[in-house]
Amino acid sequence: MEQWRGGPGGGGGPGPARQKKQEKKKCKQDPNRSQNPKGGDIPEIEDYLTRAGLLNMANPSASLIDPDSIKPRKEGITYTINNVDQFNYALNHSGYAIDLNNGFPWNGQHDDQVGGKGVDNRFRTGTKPDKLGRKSLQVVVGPPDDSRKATGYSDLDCSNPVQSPGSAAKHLIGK
Amino acid sequence: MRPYSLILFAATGLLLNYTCLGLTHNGSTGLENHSMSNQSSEEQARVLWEQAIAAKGGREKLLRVKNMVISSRAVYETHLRKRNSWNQERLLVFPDKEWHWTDMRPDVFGLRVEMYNYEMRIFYILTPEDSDKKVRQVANYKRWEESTLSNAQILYFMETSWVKPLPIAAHQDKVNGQPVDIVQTEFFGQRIDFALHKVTHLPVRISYYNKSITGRGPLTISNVDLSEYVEVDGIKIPRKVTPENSSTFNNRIQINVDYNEEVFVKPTTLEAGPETWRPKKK
Repeated sequence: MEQWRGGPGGGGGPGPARQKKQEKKKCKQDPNRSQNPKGGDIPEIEDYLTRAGLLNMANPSASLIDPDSIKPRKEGITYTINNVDQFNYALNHSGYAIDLNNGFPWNGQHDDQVGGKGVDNRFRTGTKPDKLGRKSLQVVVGPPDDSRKATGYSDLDCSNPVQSPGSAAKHLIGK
Repeated sequence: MRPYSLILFAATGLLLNYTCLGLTHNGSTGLENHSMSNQSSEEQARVLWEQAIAAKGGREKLLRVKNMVISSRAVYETHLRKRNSWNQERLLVFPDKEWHWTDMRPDVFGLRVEMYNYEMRIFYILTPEDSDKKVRQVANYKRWEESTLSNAQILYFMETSWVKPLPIAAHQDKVNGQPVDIVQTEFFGQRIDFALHKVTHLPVRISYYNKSITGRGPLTISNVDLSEYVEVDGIKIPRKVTPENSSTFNNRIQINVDYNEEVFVKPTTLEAGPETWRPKKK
């Protein structure tokens, strides 16, 4: 569905010229150290989430992720999902995400970092229009509480393990 | 929610709008019949609501509730079939203050402590990885009426001094194969349906009709099943709460507790543990 494809107000993704320049750069994953809570990947993860239609910093009341709730965690961030059903609907209709819950035998970089039933999603890497960006965004959705809120986790990886066998190898080597 | 459920819901909504506006092809006769049936349905809803309030322990006891503590434990399965525990401690001071301890370690979600004080319009979120322990301003659009504070009052008490869903209509249906009375209510512009047990009159399921947050997605209906009622201070409260597609929460509920008021003003420490809300010993 078109409305979930980033679109206007989506955090200002890289333009074509900048995108080409970025392709040549080495993909680097920054740890989010506690002494540098706003450093590392956080602004970049927020940018990916915005373009995926999951985060709206410009209009927080219309955001599926509560922007005020974002906190660093390991190589990524955790946050509060305001309504898990609507969040999953947005994920399923984004056109970018690969659902890892269909029996794909992935056991790699974040093998101890998974959420509730049917929750681990990875976004395709690449710079073509149907991709979010050079890196792969991981979105892990926790089980909902009695208010349909849930905790989410996201990070960026240099490659997407489910995109191709080559990506899987690259992902493991890059660990 | 599956797409066909959404379509069915959208179709039902259209049908309801169509019939509620009295837009029947029979003209005035249809309108009269409909308004009569509406009136009796509303009356029936009020009667069923009062039965449920009495079954809970009576309005007088419900209106005496000022705060509650929910200590809950759930187990969920990850997509790698690992079982992980989820421990929560929540202090809710009605109408406008909440403090949550949520521990999902060692999973990626980790440990979070969150406090919202809507009266003073301040909040804080603590995690082990973040050294930022600042108290921040609650955004203007956030209100306790749309937070877990009102949700908990509806879920555990149905009605309190601050939350009073308005019964609008009633009909019969089945939940988990058992016949129930459904009372459709409205609170703060949101439709909330209560499925009441035919014999005990206590809620066995509450259904929330959630408008799209982004304005681009569909409406969603979320169900929460309630079971194993226990009596706490004379009020019947569900010990087991199961949100749809989630884990079952085994709850221990305390009502009208003494608590440490400081937690609603300045950040606590994570080291102090989940019972930081308890009053300081003198």
